[in-house]
Amino acid sequence: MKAIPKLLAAVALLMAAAIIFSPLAAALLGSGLNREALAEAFRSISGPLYKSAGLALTSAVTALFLGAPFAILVERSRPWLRRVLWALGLLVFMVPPYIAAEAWIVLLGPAGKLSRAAAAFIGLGPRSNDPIEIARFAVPGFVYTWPSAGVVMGGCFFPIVALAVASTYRRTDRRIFESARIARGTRGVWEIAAHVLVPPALGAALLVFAATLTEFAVPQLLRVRTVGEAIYERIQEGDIATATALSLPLLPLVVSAGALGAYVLSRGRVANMASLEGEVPRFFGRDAGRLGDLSAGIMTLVAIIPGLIFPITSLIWLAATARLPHGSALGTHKVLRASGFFESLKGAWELAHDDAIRTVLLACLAATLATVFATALVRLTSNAGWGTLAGGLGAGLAVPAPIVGLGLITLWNGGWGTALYHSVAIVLLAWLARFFPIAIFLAQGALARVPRELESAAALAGRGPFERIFSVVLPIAAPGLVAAWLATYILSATEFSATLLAAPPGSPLLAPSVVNLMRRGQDSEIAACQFLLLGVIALPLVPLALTMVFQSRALFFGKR
Amino acid sequence: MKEILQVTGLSQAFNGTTVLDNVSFSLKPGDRLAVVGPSGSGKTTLLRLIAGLEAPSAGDITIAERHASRASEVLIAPEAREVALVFQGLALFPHLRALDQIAFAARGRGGIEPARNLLDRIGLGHRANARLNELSGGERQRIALARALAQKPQLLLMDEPFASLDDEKRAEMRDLLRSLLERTATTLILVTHSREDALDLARRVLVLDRGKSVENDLLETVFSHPRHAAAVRTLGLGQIIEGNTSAGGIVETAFGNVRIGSNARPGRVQLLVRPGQPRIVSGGEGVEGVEGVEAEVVALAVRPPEIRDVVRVAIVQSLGKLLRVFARGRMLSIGERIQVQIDGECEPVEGEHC
Repeated sequence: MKAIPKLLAAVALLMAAAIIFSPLAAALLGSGLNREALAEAFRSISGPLYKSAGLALTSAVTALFLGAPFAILVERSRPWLRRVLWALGLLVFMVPPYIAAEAWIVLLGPAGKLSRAAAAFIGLGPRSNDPIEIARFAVPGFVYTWPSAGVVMGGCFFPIVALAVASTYRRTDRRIFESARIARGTRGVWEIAAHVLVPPALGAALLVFAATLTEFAVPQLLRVRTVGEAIYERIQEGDIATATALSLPLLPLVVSAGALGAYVLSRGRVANMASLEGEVPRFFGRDAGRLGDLSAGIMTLVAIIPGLIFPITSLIWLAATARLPHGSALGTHKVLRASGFFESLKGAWELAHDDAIRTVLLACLAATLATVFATALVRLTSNAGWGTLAGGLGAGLAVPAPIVGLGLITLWNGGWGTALYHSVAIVLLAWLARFFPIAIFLAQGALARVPRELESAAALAGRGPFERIFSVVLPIAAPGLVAAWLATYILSATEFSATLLAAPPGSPLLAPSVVNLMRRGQDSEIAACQFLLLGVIALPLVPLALTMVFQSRALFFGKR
Repeated sequence: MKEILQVTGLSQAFNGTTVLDNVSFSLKPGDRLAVVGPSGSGKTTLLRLIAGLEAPSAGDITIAERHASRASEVLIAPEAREVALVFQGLALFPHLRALDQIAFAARGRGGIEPARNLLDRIGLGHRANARLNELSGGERQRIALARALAQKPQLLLMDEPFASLDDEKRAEMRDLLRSLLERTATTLILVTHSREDALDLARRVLVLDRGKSVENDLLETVFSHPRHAAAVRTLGLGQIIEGNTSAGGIVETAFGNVRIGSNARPGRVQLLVRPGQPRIVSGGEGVEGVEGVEAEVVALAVRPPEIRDVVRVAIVQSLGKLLRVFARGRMLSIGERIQVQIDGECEPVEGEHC
């Protein structure tokens, strides 16, 4: 009887591994990795590789310096403020990095709304009142550089570090800080805090480093020639072999950074409250006070500038100042050339509503498949004692997005796979390959919150295995599983690199269309498309918010 | 001798809930005070206020004649008070080895050598490099104690430090603590629920009930003449029954008339019934002048918590009230009706009976 759960777990593991790693294997084995291509790739890669690494390092450092203080200050603020500030911080996840990069350009670029105003304010503006000179005036700046791209990416990924630090901080018995304070004063507290909080912060920063290395759209928008850009150029030239070869140096870098990050995170020693004996006092820990709340508020504002405040400001600015666009990128579409933001929005909807609907449906499907399968996989592997193996599938996150796209093309472009290659199902596979490990990770966390004793109690109460899952496990794990669904949905709907490569001709998806527009469109069109994409991202939040409202009504007024 | 600790009118409230209410007491160097009381009576809060981890809502704390805290203000930081606190749950540092835990507190106070000496003194010299998860519960307790003593505190605060240990380990820890304290003449405030801890380690007892100090006296006085129901309940000094005073120093209770001393006030009173006072009597066997009453045996036990010997105990009910009675070798059965009498004089106590 014991063999059946193990067999099921093995099958689930093999299926998951196939979904995640088959594109990588296909890209490495099937795209003709020949010596010339490798030699050519390595000859030309040093410059882009340095820029990729520099960008990723800047991103990790930015995320570290925004995320760690954010987490500590916000966690010490009073409860209602903490909830508000965390909501603001996590909203950053809803804004795709390429929209943040576009905002960076709109506000701080050579013709940026803020940078030009700032230049004029400090006397560096145009030297005459000639309208042409004013229009041509470009602010010398840093936006189109790799450190700038790194700051944008770090600003978008800082919640990863913040979540890791906050999670450790919450699980830590605050009395160890008090104990350190009594023994050695503030220095003692810093010493202990460093030991407790630095490992998760560093581990998460390494994960940000790995995630940035595989990001593709931001460097493209900010014209930084990273490895991703070099790969994209080769693909456009039809040189798939060199494109694949170019991806190879990224792979060990991403794998080692990701693995080291995961290791450091898992090794972070935490004085878990649950592991301590004795009663935790009802009232303990000093209130950070008004100054603490103020610091938390200021830190939150600083942290969300690149990932939330700039994109929103840019979007509002573009929408408010939208004028009759001349020479639209989508010149054949009359509506987009009509006038103003709302006309552009209408035009963008008419132009892209098929893309948007396709994206929403496909992302919903990907998120649902990933969450259900991840839950089943985690459950089966945990029962079989193979939880570590399931966790090991997280290595799939290290596969760069272009490799996923290339691998899927190689795998399905020919023979019996042609039908799939010509359908949007290939995009579904790309998204699952990229984000299934995240769903597994979150499902593992969600199911780990369900104490085994509860299941044992349900079993003693006569509940069968399936009944236990539906009546005990899923209700308790629901918040984590919803988070897994949302994360997979948002990441899929905004995925650019693999989608661009894998999407079949004639069935475009929203993210590549939006990025293309951002590269070539008019202000009003850019605002309209960004608005549309943000609408698509926010769509699942509507039923979630409604559910919460109805639940709270039921709580306060009772069921009618 | 000057006082090492002076607590005056100390109060603490959190979000409108009063946790500590106008508590005052003082300690001389070398004193050992046990703070007892039911859960939620403010014991831990009192220690945290003395340690300077929180500012009181009202009142003053003076440590070694230095004004340490006053209303809403911590005047001397916790690290400058020369106070050590052994937390409930111990709060050992998760990343440090045994010796490093002690050396952490000893830094600036002589460094690693005193830490090593302390480790030897607590009998864990051979476990210097052990990680936290390699130490047993008793070893962790010792490390926490040594870490506190490494600070060379004037005042050692301990918050139910032995709560998670079994009786044998508790006794070992008490012996160890007593020997260490006697060597250093450190003043001790021990929060405990255990009568044995208080008896072994304390010289004075402070009883807290719902944040108020209801009794503060020498250990012997509190044990021999407790004045408050909280002291009786927490220290397991006996049972409390209620009754109405009538003429001639007699109180009418559910278990018959009970004699009390001269200081009884008229009306409803609570009486402390010591172990052994309630007895089972056969018809006409009762003590002269005190009637026995009929009660029903509702449960049987083998040992009441207040004595160590194995004794059969019957829990009897009369007029809805329960009382434990030593069975003294009699074989009783549940539902049996017996005559019960409370022998000797009982002392009235204050406070609400739960």
